[in-house]
Amino acid sequence: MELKSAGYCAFVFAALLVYFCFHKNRTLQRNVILVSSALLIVSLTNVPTLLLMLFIALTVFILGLAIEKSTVEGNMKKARCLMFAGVFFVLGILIYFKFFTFTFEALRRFAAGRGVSFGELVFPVGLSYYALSMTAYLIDIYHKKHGAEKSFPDILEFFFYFPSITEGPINLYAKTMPQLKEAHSFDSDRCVLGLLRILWGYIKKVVIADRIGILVTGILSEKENGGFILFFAMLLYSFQIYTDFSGGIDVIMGVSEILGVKLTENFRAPLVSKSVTEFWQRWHMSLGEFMEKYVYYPIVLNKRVMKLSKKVRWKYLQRAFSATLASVIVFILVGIWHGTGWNYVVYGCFQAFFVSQAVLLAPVWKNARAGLKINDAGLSYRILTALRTFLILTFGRYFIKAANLSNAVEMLRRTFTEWRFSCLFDGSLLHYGLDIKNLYLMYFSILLIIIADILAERKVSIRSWILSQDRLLRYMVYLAGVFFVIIFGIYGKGYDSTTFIYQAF
Amino acid sequence: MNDKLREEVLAVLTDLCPDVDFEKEEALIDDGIVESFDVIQIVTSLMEQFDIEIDADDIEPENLNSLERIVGMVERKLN
Repeated sequence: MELKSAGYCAFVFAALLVYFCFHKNRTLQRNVILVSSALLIVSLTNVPTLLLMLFIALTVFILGLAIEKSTVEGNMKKARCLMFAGVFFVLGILIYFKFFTFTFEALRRFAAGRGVSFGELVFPVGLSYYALSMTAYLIDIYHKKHGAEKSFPDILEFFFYFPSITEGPINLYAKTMPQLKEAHSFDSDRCVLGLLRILWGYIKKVVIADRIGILVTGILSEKENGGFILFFAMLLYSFQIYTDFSGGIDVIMGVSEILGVKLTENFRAPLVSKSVTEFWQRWHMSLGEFMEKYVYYPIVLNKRVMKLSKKVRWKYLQRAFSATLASVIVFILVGIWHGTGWNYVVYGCFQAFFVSQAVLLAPVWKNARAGLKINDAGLSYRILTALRTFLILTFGRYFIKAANLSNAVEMLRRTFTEWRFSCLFDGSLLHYGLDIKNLYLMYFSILLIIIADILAERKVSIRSWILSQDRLLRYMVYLAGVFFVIIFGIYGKGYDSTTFIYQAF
Repeated sequence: MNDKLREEVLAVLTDLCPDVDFEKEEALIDDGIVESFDVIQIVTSLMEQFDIEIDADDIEPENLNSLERIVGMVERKLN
Protein backbone atom coordinates (compact mmCIF):
# COMPACT_ATOMS: atom_id res chain seq x y z
CA MET A 1 0.00 0.00 0.00
CA GLU A 2 1.99 2.94 -1.31
CA LEU A 3 1.41 6.45 0.08
CA LYS A 4 0.10 7.59 -3.29
CA SER A 5 -2.25 4.65 -3.87
CA ALA A 6 -6.01 4.96 -3.68
CA GLY A 7 -5.87 2.10 -1.18
CA TYR A 8 -3.81 4.20 1.21
CA CYS A 9 -6.22 7.14 0.96
CA ALA A 10 -9.20 4.87 1.66
CA PHE A 11 -7.35 3.25 4.55
CA VAL A 12 -6.50 6.62 6.13
CA PHE A 13 -10.06 7.86 5.65
CA ALA A 14 -11.47 4.78 7.39
CA ALA A 15 -8.93 5.05 10.23
CA LEU A 16 -9.78 8.75 10.78
CA LEU A 17 -13.49 8.03 10.75
CA VAL A 18 -13.25 5.35 13.43
CA TYR A 19 -10.70 7.40 15.39
CA PHE A 20 -13.03 10.38 15.74
CA CYS A 21 -15.98 8.15 16.64
CA PHE A 22 -14.11 7.65 19.94
CA HIS A 23 -13.15 11.29 20.41
CA LYS A 24 -13.62 11.30 24.17
CA ASN A 25 -11.87 8.04 24.84
CA ARG A 26 -8.10 8.12 24.67
CA THR A 27 -7.70 4.33 25.13
CA LEU A 28 -10.01 3.52 22.24
CA GLN A 29 -8.32 6.13 20.05
CA ARG A 30 -4.97 4.53 20.86
CA ASN A 31 -6.36 1.13 19.94
CA VAL A 32 -7.56 2.49 16.59
CA ILE A 33 -4.03 3.71 15.90
CA LEU A 34 -2.56 0.37 16.96
CA VAL A 35 -4.91 -1.61 14.71
CA SER A 36 -4.23 0.78 11.82
CA SER A 37 -0.48 0.42 12.33
CA ALA A 38 -0.74 -3.37 12.44
CA LEU A 39 -2.84 -3.45 9.25
CA LEU A 40 -0.46 -1.12 7.44
CA ILE A 41 2.61 -3.10 8.55
CA VAL A 42 1.08 -6.42 7.48
CA SER A 43 -0.03 -4.98 4.14
CA LEU A 44 3.52 -3.74 3.48
CA THR A 45 5.34 -6.77 4.88
CA ASN A 46 3.85 -9.92 6.46
CA VAL A 47 2.70 -11.34 9.81
CA PRO A 48 6.11 -12.78 10.88
CA THR A 49 7.66 -9.33 10.31
CA LEU A 50 4.96 -7.75 12.47
CA LEU A 51 5.77 -10.29 15.19
CA LEU A 52 9.47 -9.49 14.88
CA MET A 53 8.68 -5.78 15.26
CA LEU A 54 6.58 -6.51 18.35
CA PHE A 55 9.47 -8.50 19.80
CA ILE A 56 11.88 -5.58 19.20
CA ALA A 57 9.44 -3.13 20.82
CA LEU A 58 8.87 -5.45 23.81
CA THR A 59 12.62 -5.78 24.38
CA VAL A 60 13.09 -2.00 24.26
CA PHE A 61 10.08 -1.53 26.55
CA ILE A 62 11.47 -3.93 29.18
CA LEU A 63 14.99 -2.48 28.91
CA GLY A 64 13.56 1.03 29.33
CA LEU A 65 11.89 0.00 32.60
CA ALA A 66 15.08 -1.75 33.78
CA ILE A 67 17.24 1.30 33.00
CA GLU A 68 14.85 3.55 34.90
CA LYS A 69 14.85 1.17 37.89
CA SER A 70 18.66 1.15 37.98
CA THR A 71 18.90 4.94 37.78
CA VAL A 72 16.36 5.31 40.61
CA GLU A 73 18.39 2.87 42.72
CA GLY A 74 21.50 4.92 41.95
CA ASN A 75 23.18 2.01 40.18
CA MET A 76 24.37 4.03 37.18
CA LYS A 77 26.88 1.38 36.13
CA LYS A 78 24.09 -1.16 35.67
CA ALA A 79 21.90 1.46 33.97
CA ARG A 80 24.75 2.24 31.58
CA CYS A 81 25.25 -1.46 30.74
CA LEU A 82 21.51 -1.89 30.09
CA MET A 83 21.39 1.26 27.97
CA PHE A 84 24.31 0.09 25.84
CA ALA A 85 22.80 -3.40 25.58
CA GLY A 86 19.56 -1.87 24.31
CA VAL A 87 21.29 0.46 21.85
CA PHE A 88 23.44 -2.40 20.46
CA PHE A 89 20.37 -4.62 20.21
CA VAL A 90 18.32 -2.08 18.24
CA LEU A 91 21.14 -0.80 16.06
CA GLY A 92 22.39 -4.38 15.62
CA ILE A 93 19.07 -5.35 14.10
CA LEU A 94 19.15 -2.27 11.85
CA ILE A 95 22.72 -3.04 10.75
CA TYR A 96 21.82 -6.70 10.15
CA PHE A 97 18.89 -5.78 7.92
CA LYS A 98 20.91 -3.17 6.04
CA PHE A 99 24.12 -5.13 5.51
CA PHE A 100 23.92 -8.79 6.36
CA THR A 101 20.66 -10.20 5.03
CA PHE A 102 22.75 -12.17 2.53
CA THR A 103 23.69 -14.50 5.42
CA PHE A 104 20.00 -15.34 5.85
CA GLU A 105 19.68 -15.98 2.12
CA ALA A 106 22.68 -18.31 2.23
CA LEU A 107 21.13 -20.18 5.16
CA ARG A 108 17.84 -20.41 3.29
CA ARG A 109 19.52 -21.87 0.20
CA PHE A 110 21.50 -24.29 2.36
CA ALA A 111 18.30 -25.44 4.09
CA ALA A 112 16.42 -25.68 0.80
CA GLY A 113 19.12 -28.03 -0.47
CA ARG A 114 18.25 -30.32 2.45
CA GLY A 115 14.54 -30.16 1.88
CA VAL A 116 13.79 -27.60 4.62
CA SER A 117 12.13 -24.43 3.48
CA PHE A 118 11.28 -21.24 5.33
CA GLY A 119 10.01 -17.83 4.31
CA GLU A 120 11.92 -14.89 2.96
CA LEU A 121 13.38 -12.24 5.24
CA VAL A 122 11.39 -9.04 4.75
CA PHE A 123 12.83 -5.67 5.78
CA PRO A 124 10.66 -4.45 8.69
CA VAL A 125 8.98 -1.36 7.29
CA GLY A 126 10.27 1.89 8.81
CA LEU A 127 13.05 0.17 10.79
CA SER A 128 15.54 2.90 9.81
CA TYR A 129 13.28 5.46 11.51
CA TYR A 130 11.96 3.81 14.65
CA ALA A 131 15.32 2.12 15.38
CA LEU A 132 16.64 5.66 15.93
CA SER A 133 13.55 6.65 17.96
CA MET A 134 14.12 3.59 20.16
CA THR A 135 17.84 4.39 20.56
CA ALA A 136 17.04 7.97 21.60
CA TYR A 137 14.34 6.68 23.98
CA LEU A 138 16.79 4.40 25.84
CA ILE A 139 19.59 6.99 26.00
CA ASP A 140 17.22 9.66 27.31
CA ILE A 141 15.93 7.38 30.08
CA TYR A 142 19.55 6.76 31.10
CA HIS A 143 20.20 10.50 31.17
CA LYS A 144 16.96 10.98 33.19
CA LYS A 145 15.50 13.26 30.51
CA HIS A 146 12.24 11.39 30.90
CA GLY A 147 10.97 8.26 32.60
CA ALA A 148 10.35 4.88 31.00
CA GLU A 149 6.92 4.28 29.50
CA LYS A 150 4.82 2.10 31.82
CA SER A 151 2.22 0.99 29.29
CA PHE A 152 3.23 -1.42 26.53
CA PRO A 153 0.35 -0.48 24.18
CA ASP A 154 1.29 3.20 24.59
CA ILE A 155 4.91 2.60 23.66
CA LEU A 156 3.78 0.50 20.68
CA GLU A 157 1.65 3.40 19.55
CA PHE A 158 4.66 5.71 19.78
CA PHE A 159 7.15 3.41 18.03
CA PHE A 160 4.80 2.27 15.25
CA TYR A 161 2.57 5.35 14.89
CA PHE A 162 1.03 4.55 11.49
CA PRO A 163 1.25 7.96 9.76
CA SER A 164 5.03 8.18 10.18
CA ILE A 165 6.02 4.53 9.94
CA THR A 166 6.89 4.53 6.23
CA GLU A 167 9.07 7.64 5.77
CA GLY A 168 9.57 9.12 9.23
CA PRO A 169 10.07 11.74 10.62
CA ILE A 170 12.14 10.26 13.44
CA ASN A 171 9.97 10.93 16.50
CA LEU A 172 11.39 11.68 19.91
CA TYR A 173 9.50 10.35 22.94
CA ALA A 174 9.57 13.62 24.89
CA LYS A 175 8.00 15.54 22.00
CA THR A 176 5.50 13.06 20.57
CA MET A 177 4.34 10.89 23.46
CA PRO A 178 2.63 13.66 25.49
CA GLN A 179 0.49 14.45 22.44
CA LEU A 180 -0.37 10.79 21.87
CA LYS A 181 -1.45 10.47 25.51
CA GLU A 182 -4.28 12.96 25.01
CA ALA A 183 -7.72 12.25 23.57
CA HIS A 184 -8.33 14.30 20.43
CA SER A 185 -11.68 15.59 19.29
CA PHE A 186 -12.42 16.48 15.71
CA ASP A 187 -11.47 20.05 14.82
CA SER A 188 -12.62 21.34 11.44
CA ASP A 189 -9.89 24.00 11.07
CA ARG A 190 -7.22 21.49 11.93
CA CYS A 191 -8.78 19.04 9.50
CA VAL A 192 -8.79 21.56 6.63
CA LEU A 193 -5.17 22.52 7.37
CA GLY A 194 -4.23 18.84 7.43
CA LEU A 195 -6.08 18.12 4.18
CA LEU A 196 -4.40 21.08 2.47
CA ARG A 197 -1.04 19.78 3.55
CA ILE A 198 -1.91 16.30 2.24
CA LEU A 199 -3.04 17.85 -1.05
CA TRP A 200 0.21 19.81 -1.35
CA GLY A 201 2.11 16.63 -0.57
CA TYR A 202 0.36 14.75 -3.36
CA ILE A 203 0.97 17.62 -5.80
CA LYS A 204 4.67 17.42 -4.96
CA LYS A 205 4.85 13.65 -5.17
CA VAL A 206 2.43 12.62 -7.90
CA VAL A 207 2.44 15.66 -10.17
CA ILE A 208 6.00 16.94 -9.76
CA ALA A 209 8.38 14.24 -8.50
CA ASP A 210 6.95 11.43 -10.63
CA ARG A 211 6.86 13.64 -13.73
CA ILE A 212 10.51 14.70 -13.26
CA GLY A 213 11.29 11.04 -12.58
CA ILE A 214 10.24 10.00 -16.10
CA LEU A 215 12.77 12.36 -17.68
CA VAL A 216 15.54 11.59 -15.18
CA THR A 217 15.17 7.82 -15.62
CA GLY A 218 14.95 8.23 -19.40
CA ILE A 219 18.13 10.29 -19.69
CA LEU A 220 20.17 8.27 -17.19
CA SER A 221 19.19 4.89 -18.64
CA GLU A 222 20.84 5.73 -21.97
CA LYS A 223 24.48 5.06 -21.25
CA GLU A 224 25.71 7.06 -24.25
CA ASN A 225 24.28 10.25 -22.71
CA GLY A 226 27.02 12.50 -21.40
CA GLY A 227 27.95 16.13 -20.98
CA PHE A 228 25.32 18.71 -20.17
CA ILE A 229 22.25 16.52 -20.69
CA LEU A 230 23.51 14.11 -18.03
CA PHE A 231 24.21 16.98 -15.64
CA PHE A 232 20.79 18.44 -16.43
CA ALA A 233 19.22 15.10 -15.46
CA MET A 234 21.08 15.22 -12.15
CA LEU A 235 19.89 18.79 -11.53
CA LEU A 236 16.35 17.57 -12.13
CA TYR A 237 17.02 14.61 -9.86
CA SER A 238 17.80 17.08 -7.06
CA PHE A 239 14.29 18.51 -7.48
CA GLN A 240 12.81 15.04 -7.83
CA ILE A 241 14.32 13.74 -4.60
CA TYR A 242 13.22 16.89 -2.74
CA THR A 243 9.62 16.85 -3.97
CA ASP A 244 9.35 13.10 -3.58
CA PHE A 245 10.61 13.01 -0.01
CA SER A 246 9.07 16.24 1.25
CA GLY A 247 5.79 15.43 -0.56
CA GLY A 248 5.60 12.12 1.28
CA ILE A 249 6.38 13.90 4.55
CA ASP A 250 3.65 16.48 3.86
CA VAL A 251 1.10 13.67 3.45
CA ILE A 252 2.30 12.11 6.72
CA MET A 253 2.30 15.42 8.61
CA GLY A 254 -1.15 16.25 7.25
CA VAL A 255 -2.66 12.93 8.36
CA SER A 256 -1.08 13.35 11.78
CA GLU A 257 -2.28 16.95 12.02
CA ILE A 258 -5.86 15.80 11.46
CA LEU A 259 -5.36 13.21 14.22
CA GLY A 260 -4.24 16.07 16.49
CA VAL A 261 -0.56 15.12 16.74
CA LYS A 262 2.05 17.57 15.51
CA LEU A 263 5.15 15.71 14.37
CA THR A 264 8.65 17.19 14.09
CA GLU A 265 9.11 19.13 10.84
CA ASN A 266 11.55 17.47 8.48
CA PHE A 267 12.15 20.31 5.99
CA ARG A 268 12.57 24.05 6.24
CA ALA A 269 12.90 25.48 2.71
CA PRO A 270 16.16 23.64 1.84
CA LEU A 271 16.34 25.24 -1.64
CA VAL A 272 17.33 28.59 -0.14
CA SER A 273 20.30 27.13 1.80
CA LYS A 274 23.35 29.35 1.50
CA SER A 275 25.80 26.59 2.39
CA VAL A 276 26.02 22.81 2.68
CA THR A 277 26.02 23.22 6.47
CA GLU A 278 22.82 25.24 6.32
CA PHE A 279 21.29 22.70 3.93
CA TRP A 280 21.70 19.98 6.53
CA GLN A 281 19.92 22.17 9.08
CA ARG A 282 16.97 22.39 6.69
CA TRP A 283 16.88 18.91 5.11
CA HIS A 284 15.71 15.76 6.92
CA MET A 285 15.82 17.74 10.14
CA SER A 286 14.65 14.91 12.40
CA LEU A 287 17.66 12.82 11.32
CA GLY A 288 19.88 15.89 11.76
CA GLU A 289 18.55 16.47 15.27
CA PHE A 290 19.16 12.83 16.18
CA MET A 291 22.71 12.91 14.81
CA GLU A 292 23.52 16.21 16.50
CA LYS A 293 22.20 15.13 19.89
CA TYR A 294 23.34 11.52 20.04
CA VAL A 295 26.50 11.46 17.87
CA TYR A 296 27.94 14.95 17.23
CA TYR A 297 27.88 16.48 20.73
CA PRO A 298 28.92 13.28 22.53
CA ILE A 299 31.96 13.00 20.23
CA VAL A 300 32.96 16.66 20.50
CA LEU A 301 32.63 16.69 24.30
CA ASN A 302 34.23 13.28 24.75
CA LYS A 303 37.18 13.59 27.17
CA ARG A 304 39.58 11.64 24.94
CA VAL A 305 38.68 13.70 21.88
CA MET A 306 39.10 16.91 23.89
CA LYS A 307 42.49 15.72 25.13
CA LEU A 308 43.52 14.88 21.58
CA SER A 309 42.37 18.28 20.31
CA LYS A 310 44.56 20.01 22.94
CA LYS A 311 47.57 18.80 20.94
CA VAL A 312 46.55 21.02 18.06
CA ARG A 313 48.50 24.28 18.04
CA TRP A 314 46.07 27.16 17.55
CA LYS A 315 43.15 27.71 19.88
CA TYR A 316 40.63 28.07 17.08
CA LEU A 317 41.84 24.90 15.38
CA GLN A 318 41.67 23.05 18.70
CA ARG A 319 37.91 23.52 18.72
CA ALA A 320 37.57 23.07 14.99
CA PHE A 321 39.48 19.78 15.20
CA SER A 322 36.94 17.99 17.39
CA ALA A 323 34.02 19.52 15.45
CA THR A 324 35.56 18.34 12.17
CA LEU A 325 36.17 14.85 13.48
CA ALA A 326 32.57 14.66 14.71
CA SER A 327 31.23 16.00 11.39
CA VAL A 328 33.12 13.36 9.41
CA ILE A 329 31.75 10.57 11.60
CA VAL A 330 28.20 12.00 11.52
CA PHE A 331 28.14 12.31 7.74
CA ILE A 332 29.61 8.87 7.12
CA LEU A 333 26.81 7.54 9.36
CA VAL A 334 24.25 9.66 7.48
CA GLY A 335 25.67 8.25 4.23
CA ILE A 336 25.38 4.61 5.23
CA TRP A 337 22.00 5.23 6.85
CA HIS A 338 20.79 6.03 3.31
CA GLY A 339 22.03 2.79 1.82
CA THR A 340 24.72 0.15 1.69
CA GLY A 341 27.76 0.42 -0.58
CA TRP A 342 30.92 2.48 -0.81
CA ASN A 343 29.12 5.14 -2.85
CA TYR A 344 27.12 6.05 0.29
CA VAL A 345 30.32 6.31 2.34
CA VAL A 346 31.78 8.63 -0.32
CA TYR A 347 28.49 10.58 -0.29
CA GLY A 348 28.92 11.07 3.47
CA CYS A 349 32.58 12.10 3.09
CA PHE A 350 31.60 14.54 0.32
CA GLN A 351 29.13 16.29 2.64
CA ALA A 352 31.61 16.15 5.55
CA PHE A 353 34.26 17.83 3.39
CA PHE A 354 32.09 20.87 2.69
CA VAL A 355 30.77 21.13 6.25
CA SER A 356 34.28 20.76 7.76
CA GLN A 357 35.99 23.22 5.45
CA ALA A 358 33.35 25.79 6.44
CA VAL A 359 34.32 25.32 10.10
CA LEU A 360 38.09 25.07 9.59
CA LEU A 361 38.31 27.99 7.17
CA ALA A 362 35.56 30.15 8.70
CA PRO A 363 38.00 32.96 9.67
CA VAL A 364 39.56 32.86 6.17
CA TRP A 365 36.17 33.15 4.42
CA LYS A 366 35.10 35.90 6.80
CA ASN A 367 38.21 37.96 6.07
CA ALA A 368 37.86 37.30 2.34
CA ARG A 369 34.27 38.61 2.37
CA ALA A 370 35.32 41.66 4.34
CA GLY A 371 38.31 42.25 2.04
CA LEU A 372 36.20 42.00 -1.09
CA LYS A 373 33.51 44.16 0.54
CA ILE A 374 30.85 41.51 -0.09
CA ASN A 375 27.55 42.26 1.61
CA ASP A 376 26.51 38.82 2.84
CA ALA A 377 23.02 40.05 3.70
CA GLY A 378 22.44 41.28 0.13
CA LEU A 379 19.99 39.56 -2.21
CA SER A 380 22.51 38.86 -4.97
CA TYR A 381 24.86 37.18 -2.49
CA ARG A 382 22.00 35.07 -1.15
CA ILE A 383 20.95 33.98 -4.64
CA LEU A 384 24.49 33.17 -5.72
CA THR A 385 25.27 31.18 -2.58
CA ALA A 386 21.96 29.28 -2.89
CA LEU A 387 22.82 28.38 -6.50
CA ARG A 388 26.35 27.36 -5.52
CA THR A 389 24.99 25.14 -2.73
CA PHE A 390 22.47 23.55 -5.08
CA LEU A 391 25.23 22.77 -7.59
CA ILE A 392 27.50 21.25 -4.94
CA LEU A 393 24.67 19.11 -3.61
CA THR A 394 23.78 17.98 -7.12
CA PHE A 395 27.33 16.67 -7.61
CA GLY A 396 27.00 14.92 -4.26
CA ARG A 397 23.84 13.19 -5.46
CA TYR A 398 25.78 11.33 -8.17
CA PHE A 399 26.88 9.06 -5.34
CA ILE A 400 23.37 8.17 -4.20
CA LYS A 401 21.82 7.99 -7.66
CA ALA A 402 24.47 5.64 -9.05
CA ALA A 403 24.17 1.92 -8.35
CA ASN A 404 27.68 1.77 -6.91
CA LEU A 405 30.88 3.77 -6.57
CA SER A 406 32.41 2.86 -9.93
CA ASN A 407 29.11 3.71 -11.62
CA ALA A 408 29.11 7.12 -9.90
CA VAL A 409 32.68 7.82 -10.98
CA GLU A 410 31.85 6.73 -14.51
CA MET A 411 28.79 9.05 -14.55
CA LEU A 412 30.93 11.95 -13.33
CA ARG A 413 33.52 11.19 -16.02
CA ARG A 414 30.79 11.19 -18.68
CA THR A 415 29.43 14.49 -17.32
CA PHE A 416 32.69 16.26 -18.04
CA THR A 417 32.65 15.59 -21.74
CA GLU A 418 31.07 17.81 -24.38
CA TRP A 419 28.63 20.37 -22.87
CA ARG A 420 25.98 21.00 -25.50
CA PHE A 421 23.43 23.39 -24.01
CA SER A 422 21.32 23.23 -27.19
CA CYS A 423 19.92 19.90 -25.95
CA LEU A 424 17.48 21.98 -23.89
CA PHE A 425 15.92 23.52 -26.98
CA ASP A 426 16.46 21.16 -29.93
CA GLY A 427 13.90 18.59 -28.90
CA SER A 428 16.46 16.13 -27.44
CA LEU A 429 14.52 16.08 -24.17
CA LEU A 430 11.36 14.86 -25.89
CA HIS A 431 12.70 11.33 -26.45
CA TYR A 432 12.41 10.24 -22.86
CA GLY A 433 8.69 9.90 -22.26
CA LEU A 434 7.57 13.49 -21.67
CA ASP A 435 5.98 15.43 -24.52
CA ILE A 436 6.29 19.19 -24.86
CA LYS A 437 3.23 19.98 -22.70
CA ASN A 438 4.45 17.71 -19.94
CA LEU A 439 7.89 19.24 -20.19
CA TYR A 440 6.50 22.75 -19.76
CA LEU A 441 4.35 21.56 -16.89
CA MET A 442 7.48 20.13 -15.29
CA TYR A 443 9.37 23.45 -15.63
CA PHE A 444 6.34 25.28 -14.25
CA SER A 445 6.11 22.97 -11.25
CA ILE A 446 9.82 23.35 -10.51
CA LEU A 447 9.28 27.10 -10.48
CA LEU A 448 6.34 26.54 -8.13
CA ILE A 449 8.55 24.60 -5.73
CA ILE A 450 11.20 27.31 -5.72
CA ILE A 451 8.54 29.98 -5.03
CA ALA A 452 7.05 27.81 -2.28
CA ASP A 453 10.44 27.57 -0.58
CA ILE A 454 11.03 31.33 -0.85
CA LEU A 455 7.58 32.02 0.65
CA ALA A 456 8.19 29.49 3.42
CA GLU A 457 11.48 31.21 4.18
CA ARG A 458 9.63 34.52 4.45
CA LYS A 459 7.21 32.82 6.84
CA VAL A 460 4.26 33.27 4.48
CA SER A 461 1.75 30.52 5.25
CA ILE A 462 -0.32 29.81 2.15
CA ARG A 463 -2.48 27.38 4.11
CA SER A 464 -3.49 30.01 6.67
CA TRP A 465 -4.11 32.49 3.83
CA ILE A 466 -6.46 30.04 2.07
CA LEU A 467 -8.24 29.38 5.34
CA SER A 468 -8.83 33.11 5.87
CA GLN A 469 -10.60 33.54 2.51
CA ASP A 470 -14.36 33.44 1.99
CA ARG A 471 -16.03 30.11 1.44
CA LEU A 472 -16.43 30.31 -2.35
CA LEU A 473 -12.75 31.03 -2.99
CA ARG A 474 -11.68 28.39 -0.49
CA TYR A 475 -13.74 25.69 -2.18
CA MET A 476 -12.45 26.76 -5.57
CA VAL A 477 -8.88 26.36 -4.31
CA TYR A 478 -9.62 22.93 -2.84
CA LEU A 479 -11.28 21.73 -6.04
CA ALA A 480 -8.52 23.14 -8.22
CA GLY A 481 -5.93 21.35 -6.09
CA VAL A 482 -7.74 18.02 -6.21
CA PHE A 483 -8.27 18.26 -9.98
CA PHE A 484 -4.65 19.29 -10.44
CA VAL A 485 -3.56 16.06 -8.76
CA ILE A 486 -6.10 13.90 -10.59
CA ILE A 487 -5.50 15.38 -14.04
CA PHE A 488 -1.77 15.99 -13.96
CA GLY A 489 -0.70 13.18 -11.64
CA ILE A 490 1.46 10.36 -12.95
CA TYR A 491 -0.12 7.04 -12.10
CA GLY A 492 1.54 3.66 -12.49
CA LYS A 493 3.76 2.18 -15.14
CA GLY A 494 1.08 2.18 -17.81
CA TYR A 495 1.24 5.94 -18.05
CA ASP A 496 1.51 7.11 -21.63
CA SER A 497 2.64 10.69 -22.07
CA THR A 498 1.00 11.01 -25.46
CA THR A 499 -2.45 10.79 -23.88
CA PHE A 500 -2.60 13.97 -21.86
CA ILE A 501 -5.53 13.30 -19.57
CA TYR A 502 -6.92 16.84 -19.46
CA GLN A 503 -7.63 16.67 -23.20
CA ALA A 504 -10.56 14.39 -22.43
CA PHE A 505 -12.34 17.17 -20.50
CA MET B 1 21.36 35.75 40.21
CA ASN B 2 25.06 36.39 40.57
CA ASP B 3 25.72 39.60 38.58
CA LYS B 4 29.45 39.04 38.40
CA LEU B 5 28.95 35.56 36.98
CA ARG B 6 26.41 36.93 34.53
CA GLU B 7 28.90 39.52 33.27
CA GLU B 8 31.65 36.93 32.93
CA VAL B 9 29.42 34.54 30.97
CA LEU B 10 28.21 37.39 28.77
CA ALA B 11 31.83 38.35 28.04
CA VAL B 12 32.61 34.78 26.91
CA LEU B 13 29.50 34.62 24.71
CA THR B 14 30.00 38.04 23.11
CA ASP B 15 33.63 37.25 22.43
CA LEU B 16 32.64 34.09 20.51
CA CYS B 17 29.52 35.38 18.73
CA PRO B 18 29.83 39.16 18.48
CA ASP B 19 26.83 39.41 16.13
CA VAL B 20 24.34 37.94 18.60
CA ASP B 21 22.47 40.09 21.12
CA PHE B 22 22.61 37.74 24.12
CA GLU B 23 20.83 40.25 26.37
CA LYS B 24 17.75 40.04 24.17
CA GLU B 25 17.54 36.59 22.57
CA GLU B 26 15.33 34.03 24.27
CA ALA B 27 15.52 31.13 21.82
CA LEU B 28 19.19 30.87 20.84
CA ILE B 29 18.93 27.14 20.09
CA ASP B 30 15.28 26.80 19.05
CA ASP B 31 15.55 29.61 16.49
CA GLY B 32 18.94 28.45 15.26
CA ILE B 33 20.59 31.75 16.22
CA VAL B 34 23.59 29.81 17.48
CA GLU B 35 24.50 26.77 15.38
CA SER B 36 26.11 23.54 16.47
CA PHE B 37 29.67 24.79 16.02
CA ASP B 38 28.88 27.98 18.00
CA VAL B 39 27.38 25.77 20.72
CA ILE B 40 30.61 23.77 20.82
CA GLN B 41 32.69 26.94 21.07
CA ILE B 42 30.46 28.35 23.83
CA VAL B 43 30.41 25.14 25.84
CA THR B 44 34.16 24.47 25.62
CA SER B 45 34.96 28.10 26.48
CA LEU B 46 32.66 27.98 29.52
CA MET B 47 34.32 24.73 30.59
CA GLU B 48 37.76 26.32 30.40
CA GLN B 49 36.81 29.67 31.91
CA PHE B 50 34.94 28.30 34.92
CA ASP B 51 36.69 24.94 35.20
CA ILE B 52 33.42 23.03 35.04
CA GLU B 53 32.32 19.90 33.21
CA ILE B 54 29.53 20.09 30.68
CA ASP B 55 28.35 16.85 29.10
CA ALA B 56 26.66 16.20 25.78
CA ASP B 57 23.34 15.61 27.55
CA ASP B 58 23.53 19.11 29.04
CA ILE B 59 23.27 20.52 25.51
CA GLU B 60 19.55 21.12 25.56
CA PRO B 61 17.54 24.22 24.65
CA GLU B 62 16.46 24.53 28.29
CA ASN B 63 20.11 25.03 29.31
CA LEU B 64 21.22 27.19 26.41
CA ASN B 65 18.31 29.13 24.94
CA SER B 66 19.10 32.43 26.68
CA LEU B 67 21.84 34.17 28.65
CA GLU B 68 19.87 33.57 31.87
CA ARG B 69 19.61 29.86 31.16
CA ILE B 70 23.31 29.58 30.33
CA VAL B 71 24.24 31.41 33.55
CA GLY B 72 21.86 29.12 35.45
CA MET B 73 23.59 26.05 34.02
CA VAL B 74 27.06 27.39 34.88
CA GLU B 75 25.85 28.22 38.40
CA ARG B 76 24.55 24.66 38.90
CA LYS B 77 27.79 23.20 37.64
CA LEU B 78 29.84 25.40 39.99
CA ASN B 79 27.90 24.29 43.06
